[in-house]
Formats: sequence, structure tokens, C-alpha cells
Amino acid sequence: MADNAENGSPPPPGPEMGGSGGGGGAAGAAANEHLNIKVTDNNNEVFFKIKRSTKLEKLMTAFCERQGKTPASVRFLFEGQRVQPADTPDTLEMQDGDTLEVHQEQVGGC
Amino acid sequence: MPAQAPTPRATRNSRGLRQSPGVSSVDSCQGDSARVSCHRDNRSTPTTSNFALALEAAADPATPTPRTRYAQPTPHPAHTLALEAIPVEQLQPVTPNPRARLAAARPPIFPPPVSLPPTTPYVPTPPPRSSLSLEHPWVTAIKNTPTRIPRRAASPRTPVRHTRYLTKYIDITPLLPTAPAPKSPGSESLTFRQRRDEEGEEKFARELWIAIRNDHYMKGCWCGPPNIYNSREEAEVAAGHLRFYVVGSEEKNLRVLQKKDDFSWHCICGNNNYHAVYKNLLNSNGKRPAEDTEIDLIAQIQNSNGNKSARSIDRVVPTPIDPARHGEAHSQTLKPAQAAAQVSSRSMWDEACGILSRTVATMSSPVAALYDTLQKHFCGDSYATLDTRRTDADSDAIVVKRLKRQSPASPVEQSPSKDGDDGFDDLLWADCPTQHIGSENIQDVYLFIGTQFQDIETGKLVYGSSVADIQKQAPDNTDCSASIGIFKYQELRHGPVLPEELDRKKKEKWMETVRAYHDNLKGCLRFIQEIYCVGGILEDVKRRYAAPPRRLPLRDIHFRREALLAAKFLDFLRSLDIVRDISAASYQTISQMIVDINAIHKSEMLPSFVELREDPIENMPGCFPEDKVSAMEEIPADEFECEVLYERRFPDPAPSDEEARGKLGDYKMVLEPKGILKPPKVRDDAPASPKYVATPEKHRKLSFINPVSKFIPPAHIPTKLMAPHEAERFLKAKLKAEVLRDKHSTRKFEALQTVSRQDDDGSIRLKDKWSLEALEKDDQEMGLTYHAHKYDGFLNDLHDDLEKRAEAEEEQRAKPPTRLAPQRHMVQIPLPPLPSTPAMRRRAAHLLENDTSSPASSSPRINPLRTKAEVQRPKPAEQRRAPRTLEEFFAEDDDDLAISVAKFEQLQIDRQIRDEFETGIRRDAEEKRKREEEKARREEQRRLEEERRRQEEERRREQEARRQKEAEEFAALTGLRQPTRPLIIPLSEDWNCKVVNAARANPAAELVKTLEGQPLTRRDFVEKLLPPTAWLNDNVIIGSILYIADYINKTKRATDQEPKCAAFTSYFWPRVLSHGPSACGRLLRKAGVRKANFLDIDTVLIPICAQAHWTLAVIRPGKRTVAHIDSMRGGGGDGAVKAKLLELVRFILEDQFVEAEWRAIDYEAPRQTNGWDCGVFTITNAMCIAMGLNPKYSYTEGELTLQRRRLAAILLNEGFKGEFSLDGF
Repeated sequence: MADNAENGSPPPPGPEMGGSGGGGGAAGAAANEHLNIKVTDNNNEVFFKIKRSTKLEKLMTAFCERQGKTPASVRFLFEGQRVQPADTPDTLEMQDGDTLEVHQEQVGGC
Repeated sequence: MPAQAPTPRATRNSRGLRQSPGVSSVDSCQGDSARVSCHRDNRSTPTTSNFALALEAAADPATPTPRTRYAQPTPHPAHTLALEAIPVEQLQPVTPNPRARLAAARPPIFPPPVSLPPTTPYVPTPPPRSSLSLEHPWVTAIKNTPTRIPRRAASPRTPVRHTRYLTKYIDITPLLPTAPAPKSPGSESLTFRQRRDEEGEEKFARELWIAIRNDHYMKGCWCGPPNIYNSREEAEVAAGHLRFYVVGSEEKNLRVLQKKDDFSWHCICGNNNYHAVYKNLLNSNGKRPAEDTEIDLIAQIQNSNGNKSARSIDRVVPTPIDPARHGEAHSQTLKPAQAAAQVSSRSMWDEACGILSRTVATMSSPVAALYDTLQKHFCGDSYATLDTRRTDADSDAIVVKRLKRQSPASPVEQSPSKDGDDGFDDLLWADCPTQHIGSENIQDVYLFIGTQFQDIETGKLVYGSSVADIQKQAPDNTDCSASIGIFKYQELRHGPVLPEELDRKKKEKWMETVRAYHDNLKGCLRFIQEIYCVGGILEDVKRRYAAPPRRLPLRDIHFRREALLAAKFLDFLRSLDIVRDISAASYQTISQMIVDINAIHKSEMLPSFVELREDPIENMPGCFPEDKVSAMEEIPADEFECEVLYERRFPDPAPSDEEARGKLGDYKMVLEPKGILKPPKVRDDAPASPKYVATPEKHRKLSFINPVSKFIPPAHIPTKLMAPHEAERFLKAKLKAEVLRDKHSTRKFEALQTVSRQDDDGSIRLKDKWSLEALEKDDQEMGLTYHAHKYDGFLNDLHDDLEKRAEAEEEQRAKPPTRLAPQRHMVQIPLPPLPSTPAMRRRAAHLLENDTSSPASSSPRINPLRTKAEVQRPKPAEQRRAPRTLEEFFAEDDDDLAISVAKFEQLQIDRQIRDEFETGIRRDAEEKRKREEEKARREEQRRLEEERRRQEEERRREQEARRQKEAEEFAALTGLRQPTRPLIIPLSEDWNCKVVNAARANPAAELVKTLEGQPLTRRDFVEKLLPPTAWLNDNVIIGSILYIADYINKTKRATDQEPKCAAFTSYFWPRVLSHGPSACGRLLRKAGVRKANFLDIDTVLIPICAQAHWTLAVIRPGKRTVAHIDSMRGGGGDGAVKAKLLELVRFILEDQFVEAEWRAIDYEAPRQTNGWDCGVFTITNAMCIAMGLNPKYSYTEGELTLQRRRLAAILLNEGFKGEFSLDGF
């Protein structure tokens, strides 16, 4: 679980991540920078550690690949709000330890 | 005769043929074999030669004996010297030579061919033996090699094997690419030396000698075995194409003397058999390929002696031999050897060609051919014996007897015994099983094996790394044969012991071998006991079978398997040197035991159990001993194969009872049954079973072409005869056709008219055609005269009779209808009969001629073709009038009756007109009355209808008023109204194209983004929206509903945070349900719904997806209503949802919530009847509600397929703008 999608890639250079970290020092920025996010459908819980500025699309695809689901048929919800691929934890005002719920695509006809 | 033979003698001599200096001129004239025989004659004892001479003379008086033909050569001085050195008593064998006896016993079957060098009865020439002191030790050693008395002589009943083996030799000795063999006379070839060096002097010499001798015997060569001489000089003067001599006393001192240009081991003494074989060996060029036996005999001997790995022998047996093919095959098999030999022998080969061609010439003489034929006739092809491998009885190879594997003989030969078992004809049960081998021998071997067994049991074993080592280690005077045997067995099983091997492994191997050796010894002992002890198997078998059966399956298959193992082990034991050292007798004993034990394995009769019955027929005059096929056959012991080599293709068809019973674990070979009829092939086209289908009768008439049948009537003869009534019809039709101006019909009748001849018709020139001469000529040509004479009168009478009868009938028929015109009106068109007879035709021709000459004179119309009698009595009706043409006939026809008919018709018409007039008046009056009545009725109806309409209108108006009032009330409640124009209209062409393109887009491409930020892909359109029965997904629903809210807000100039219409996603409601409204603050805020502005919002749209069904929850805070629109319920909603909505409102408004104000209502909406449109219903309802329209009046269910396209277009358009603007509803 600890190995997340982010670990593999080198952290982006300092200036870019200055937005949220601000002047809180290197350690504080780093602490702020990373969020632990739990992604759960009703059966599985997967924890991701991502940066605030990382697009959640990465997380979503990682989860889908791990669970063997097609991204088109899965909806990620953060507090009932749909998470779009372009969203980042920043835009969704996510906190450390927040949960993304994974729902099936809603389809109805009758 | 040999002198006359065109032999290139001179050249041979010039080549430096090594000859003894004392060879006479006569001798050198002869072929090699001649010389040999001469020499042999020289050396042979006078008694023997005389005897042989007498024999030959007796056998073939016509043939001059060699003695007479050839001058007795003067013995060479050296030779004489050699002879002198030999004591006389040694020259004369003490025992009569078996060969000589054989020759004496056997009458010469065929005279030797004339062209061949004279035959000398075989007298084995003892080598020129000097006294023991003179003879070289090697010579003695070689001479002492066990020589066997030829079997043939010992037991004449034993036949030779009439099989021909194709044998492939593989020379395992590595042949270095050697230089060509030295040409210098008398020197040994390189190969020869090489081999000798490798194999050791004594062994090599012995085996080579044996090989050569065997070759001789095998080929039936009559000359003696090669001799070994004490010195080169001696050898040079001696006879024989191959002479061995000993040089000095040191090692490697055996030399061979070869003729320079004949490097064959074999002799060419000219035996017929040999020549036949020889001929077969010629290749297609007529040349003899390099003989295999030359070098490879040695290899073969070597191979057959225990070196099992080198034994690769292909047997192709026994086939009736096609000489040419066989020769080829043989030469093919020889190729490897040949190739090896050729390296060294090529140059010599070239030189040898001359001699060979001479030999060929000799062979092809007619007598040889005759001999071949005779031989074939008597012996059959299969008798040709070519077993180049076989070591014969005379060698030290010990021959064992075994019962021949007999293929099921033909029924004549086979005499099935009473119990159904086919026994051997000439076998009897032996009294004692040891009879065959000899009880002493058996005991000897038993003892030998038993000692080894004892040694192992008691542990008297020595372990060593080699045989020598073992021998060294062994304590003195102890028998270490067991140890050596085990060691060899280990080598056999595990390969040679390598020095670098681990001790542990060595020990393991050794122990394993000891165990196996022990077991095998035990098995051997057991078998020997069982077979040879009195009261063993033999007693049982005797009890069971009266006569020796062909097949003798003993015990079960395990027993037989063990027998194979035991036989193999005995084979191994036999190959041990230690065994061979004991004695040749024990070697043979073991071989015979192997045969016996192996027979058990092969389920054959054990040779020890039977003995041959004396056959009285054998000595019948004219019967050759060889002709009798014995049950026993002989094979060299070395050759005996433990494995089953015989063919299994034709097993005994009738298995014995023993086998049929079958035991557990006993396997039988099940052969494909032959001779069982296969099911017939079913052909599709043919019936399943052959049924008798009668050939359809052919109605075929044999007919000759009759000239009459070919007769084509001339044009003037009418083709048709018309009776009067026919004519009448005909004329009427014609008239009608003319009246109607039917040209076709008219023409047809005119054509007919020409047929009915008219006198004044000048179209026919009778004179031209109908002259008498012409007619007669025709008659003759057509051969009508005969028919005419024959049937003339008869046909005429018949015709008259028929005509009369027809007329009578006609009269009868014409009488009753009175309306018909009287008889005289009837027309008879005289149609003459066919002038079928020449007489009649002639008459007719006469008449016609007369007619044409005076046409007017024939006013009383006479049928010109009638006979005179007929003409004289014309019919009354006919006579009275005969109208010329049809027009005349009609003109003349008087019409009293016709007129009266016309009047009558007129009268009738008048009456009819009158009637009609009256009825018309009557009808008029009636109609008038009816019309008036009708009018009155209609008036009344109209009045009633108007009244009804008025009432309906009133009712409708009332209803409408009521409805309007209700609608107004409803609208007042819901704030909904009717749309001013239809909501769902077809798309424009442009947008149709765009939708279609979207459906064809790249699957991964992001076609458009919803307000939520959700990208829509082709999947959302193609799979979830556009197909008429697709279920909509959340992307489409949320996207559309957000666009609706956006449109409303934009048109009402509301901001996102102060909206007039708020919309939620479909994930809002699940969260409300699961977490309660309190957890949705974020979502509410995002939608712009707060306590402060909530009551200013017109519409809140909440799409709900529950159990695969889309519904819409609506809150209209302005109207203080909550509603749930379910398309399945026609706009009605679920109470639970409404309650939850109210709860939500209460949560939002908190203290501002006045429960009394809020109501849960139902809207009216079209009802969904299918199973797929609820999403579209939901969106459309949302549109209507948001715009304040009553969904019920805004759309129908049928429009929703179109609405799907519209929605797709709206989504692609990113909202209700442009064409899709909702303004003005």
C-alpha cells in the first residue's frame, strides 16, 4: 500500500510546488506537500500518498489498474462530489487522510 | 579348351605375376584354380586321387578328366623338397576325410560345366607338415584351433539353411587414409598389417585363416584352405592363391603371400555355385565391385566374437531372389566396406579388372547357364546360399541345432493330429532331456555355474580394477572365475571402470552387479534343473501332448521372460574367456542350453525334448537328402539370437488351448483379423441393397423405310375430305371472315379453297405434271406397283362402303332439326379420295386431261377421281345443284325462312321497346317518391345531428372550462403552464452530422466537457445515449441537468451563488440517504444553495438513480413544494423520497422552515411504457419543470428517440444556446 504511484517519479522541482507549501520551510512544505488518501470501494481500501498538486487522474488510473476496472465505468467521489481527472487535492480542498469513494457508473433505464 | 580361351595370359605374365619358378608352361597356361588343383593333385595321396578320379569318371564319362586333359605338371623342385620333408604317414590322414566321404556318398548331381576348369573332389589337403620341430609354434597353434567336422557330413539329414542373408558389415576398426597398397609382389597390404598389429599375431592369424576357410566353404569352393608355410620360399613355391608364411621367430611374424592382382581371400577354383554367386555380385557395368570379404571378413570374425556392440546386422530373409536385384542390393550393402577398402585397393583394382572380365566371360558360357537353370529348377531360387557372414560348422564356431520356426505349412503338409494340435511330422518325444546335450556336459556346466554361485554365496570374491588386477589379487590356486565374471558383467552393464570414478560409486556398481550376477546365476541353475532333471518339465509336457506340438507355451509369461533373461545371461557366460578356456565342449553345451532355454521364451519346442524320427522315405531312389525339409536347423552358436527375430506376421493361426485360456497378466498379440469381410461401402447414389430393377422395355420397332410412307401427295390432291355438314360450317366461317374482312381468316380459307379443286381454277397445270409417263415413272420409282395390285380392289370397295355409310348417317342426323335448311341446301364439296393406287391415279390423270381439254362440257359435276361406276350413279342431292363458288351458293340461296325470322325479330323488338317504355315510366314515378322520402329523412337526421353537436359542444365547453379551471388551479399550485410550441423538434442537418461524427469519433478522444468538468467520450454517446434502447448513464444525466440549470440561471441573470435554478449531481442523493443532509453541506454550498437564498430559488433539480432507474426530485422553494417525478408512475412520486426532500428542506432552512407551508405534490408527466427511456424522461421533465412548463403537455413518449439525438446535440453544443435555446416556450 505504501508504494504509491508517486514514489516512482522524482518529486517536481521546488519552485513549482511553492504554491501550497509557501514559506513554511522545507520540512513543513514537504509535510504539507504529501497527502495520504484512502481510496475505497466497498471491498477494498487502497492508500495513496500523493502530492497536493498531483492530478488525481494518476491516482484514479492507478487504482483502476490495480483493481482491474475500466476507468470509464468507475466514478470517484470526494464527499459526494465527482472527482474529475483534472482535479488535484488542492482544487478539491482535500485534507490528509481524506477518503475517495469509488462508485460504479450509474446507469438506469427502467 | 582353356588354352583356347582368349585369356590375356601374356599380359598377366608381363605384369609380373608371381609364379613359382618351376611352374611348367602348361601350368601357367591354366587359370589360377587350375593351377591350384594341379598342385593339389600333386600333393594329394595317390589313393585319394585315384578314388576321386574313379568317381569323376563314373559320374561323367563324357567329360575328360582333368588328368587326361592336363598334362601332369612336373613338380617343382622346391615343392618336391617340401614334400620330401613331410613324412609319408602325415600325408595320409589316418581317419578317412569326411569331405571325401561326403563326396563319395553323394552322387554328383550335375556335371561340372565344360568350360570351367576341371573340378577336383575336395580333399582337404593337410598343410605341408614338417615335423614338429620344423613347424613354427604359430603354425601349430593355428592348426590346433578347434576344427569341426562339417555337419553336413556328420548328419546328412541336416539341411543347409536355405536362406539368404543380406548382411551389412560395419568395419569398426578405424581405417586411416592409407596409401595405396604396395604393389610389390608378396608384400602384405597396409590394412592387413595394421590389423595384425592391432589384434595380435596369433588371434589375427587364426581368425584370418578361419575366415578364409569359411569363405571357401560358404561358397562351396572346392579347393582347400589356405596354408601356412614356414618360410617365404616355401610359400612362394606352394600352390594356392593365398599363402601364409612365418618370418623369423620374433613377434609380428606372420606374413601373407598374395597374388599381386588378386587381392581376394577367396579362391576362384571355379565351383559352379560360387560362380553363380559371383555373377550376382556383378554390378550393372558387368564388373565385379570390390569384394567385401577381402578385408572385412576379418572384421566380421572379430565382430562375431563377443564384441556385441559391433554387431549390426541387417537381415533380410528369406526372399525369393531376383538375381539382378539381389546383386544390386548386395553391392549396395557392401558400399561402406567397399568405400573403406577402396582407398587402399583402387590401383590394384584397376589391374584386377582384366582377370575379372575373364572370369565373367567364363561364367557366361552356355553350360553355366544351363547349370544355373537346372539348379534353379531343382533347388529353387531360395536355395541360393549367400551368407557371407555365416561361420560354418568347420570353423571353431560351434553350431547348435534348433527346431526350425515353422510357418504354418500348407494344409497338405500339415497333418493335424486328433487333438487339433499340429505337431511336427518327424519329431518324437525324447526319452530323457539330457539325451541331446549329454548329461556329462550338462553336469559340467551346472557344476561350473554352481561353483560360481557358491563362490558368491560364500563371499569368495575379489575386487579389482581390471581382470589382470583381479587375477593378481586372487590368492594362489583359487578359482577367481566368479570375480572375473562379475567384473565383466559389470563392464557389460555399466561400461568400463574408470579410474577417476569415486570409490563409493564403484562399490555401488560392484554390489549391484554382484547381486544381479547372483540372481542370474540362480535363475540359470533353476532353469537347468527344471529342464534337464528327470521328472521336470519334459514329463509334464509329455503327459499333456501325445506328439511334440509346434508351439509349446510353458507356464506363464513371467516364466518365459525369466527364460529370456537366463538365456541372455548364459550367452554372456559363454562369451567369457574363462568359459571358453574350460573346453569347447562346455561352450557348445552352454550354447545348446541357450537354445533350449530360449525356446521356452519363444514358446517353441525345446530341441532337447525331441528327437528326430527316422524317415523311411529318405532313401527312396531319386530323392535327394536335401529335399527333405527337416524340423531342425543348424546355426552357428555365435549367431544365435536370444531375441525373437522371426517374423510375427504369420503366427500360428490356431493357438493351443493353453494360450486360449489365458492367464492373468498374460498378453497375447491380437492381430488384425484377415479375411473378415468389410462392411460394404455405402454409396450415396446407389440403393442400399441391390434390388432387381427390370430393364424398361424398349418399344423399338424394326422397320424398313416404305416408299409409301414417304409419299407426299401432290398439290392438286385435296388433303381433306369434307362431309356436307363440315362443308357447311366451313363455308359459313368463310363468309363470316369475308364479311368481317378478317384478312387472316380469309387468306386461310383461300388456301383451303385451292385445296378443294375448282375446274376453272387455272392455277394448276395438270398437263405438265400429270402425264401418264410421268406417273408411271413415279410408280416405278416408288415401287407402288406391288401394293397397288395387291390391295387395289379391296381398298376401293372399302372406300365406297365407308362413304355410303357416312352418307346414311348424315341423312339420319340431318332429319330431326326442322329448322335446318333442307337437304338441297347442303353443300357437298366433292373431295376426291386419295389416289392411292396407281391404277386410280392413272385413271384420274386421264379424266383430268379430258377435263382440262373441255372444262365447260362437264356441267354435271362429276368427281373426276371417282370410278366409272360411281360416276354413273351420282347422288340425287349432289346432282341437282353444285354451286361453283361459295359466293354463288349464297347468292342462289333463297330466303323465305330468313325473312320470316327477320319479321319475327322486328316484332319482338317492338314489344320489348314497349315493355321497356312502360317499365321506365313506372320506375320514374317510384324513384321520385323515394327521393322525396329520402330528403325528408335526411332533413330530420341533420336536425338531430346538429342538436347533438350542439350538446356536445356545450359539454365540451363545460369540460374545457372545468379542465382549464383545474389546470389553472394546478398551474397556480405548480406554477406550470403549457408550452407555446413543441419542445422536441427534429435536429437541423448540421447538427445531425455533428452527432453522427461524434458517434464515429476516436474512442479515447474527449469530445466535450460538461459543466462539471467531466469529459464525455464516444462511449457516452454511442453506448449510453444514442441507441434508442440504451440506458443513459450519469455523465449524460448530470451533464444535461447542469446545462438546464445553467441556461435558466443565465436567462434569469442569476449567478452561480444566487441561482434561480439549482441542480445537483446524481451522487448527491445517495449521500443524502447514506450520510444524511448534514454531510452534504459542501455539495449544497457548491450548488449555491444556502439558508439565506433558498427561498429565492425557483427550482432545485435532483436526479436520482435508484435500482437502475432514473427519477427526478424537484424542490420548488418559491411554491413551497417538493415533488418526485417518476416517469414510470406518470409523474407521480415516491412518498419516501418526498419525505426525505422535506427533511432536506428543513435542514437547509433550519428555523425558517414552516412546515405548514410545504407540501409534497405530484406533477403530471407522460408515462413511460418501455424499459429504457427513463433517463430521457428525467431530463425532459427537468427541462419542463425548470422552465415552468407542464411536462404532460410538453412532449410524448414517442418523441424521446428524437430527444436522445437532441440531447446528444445539446451536450455537444455545450448547453442550451444557439439552436437549442429554450427561449419562447
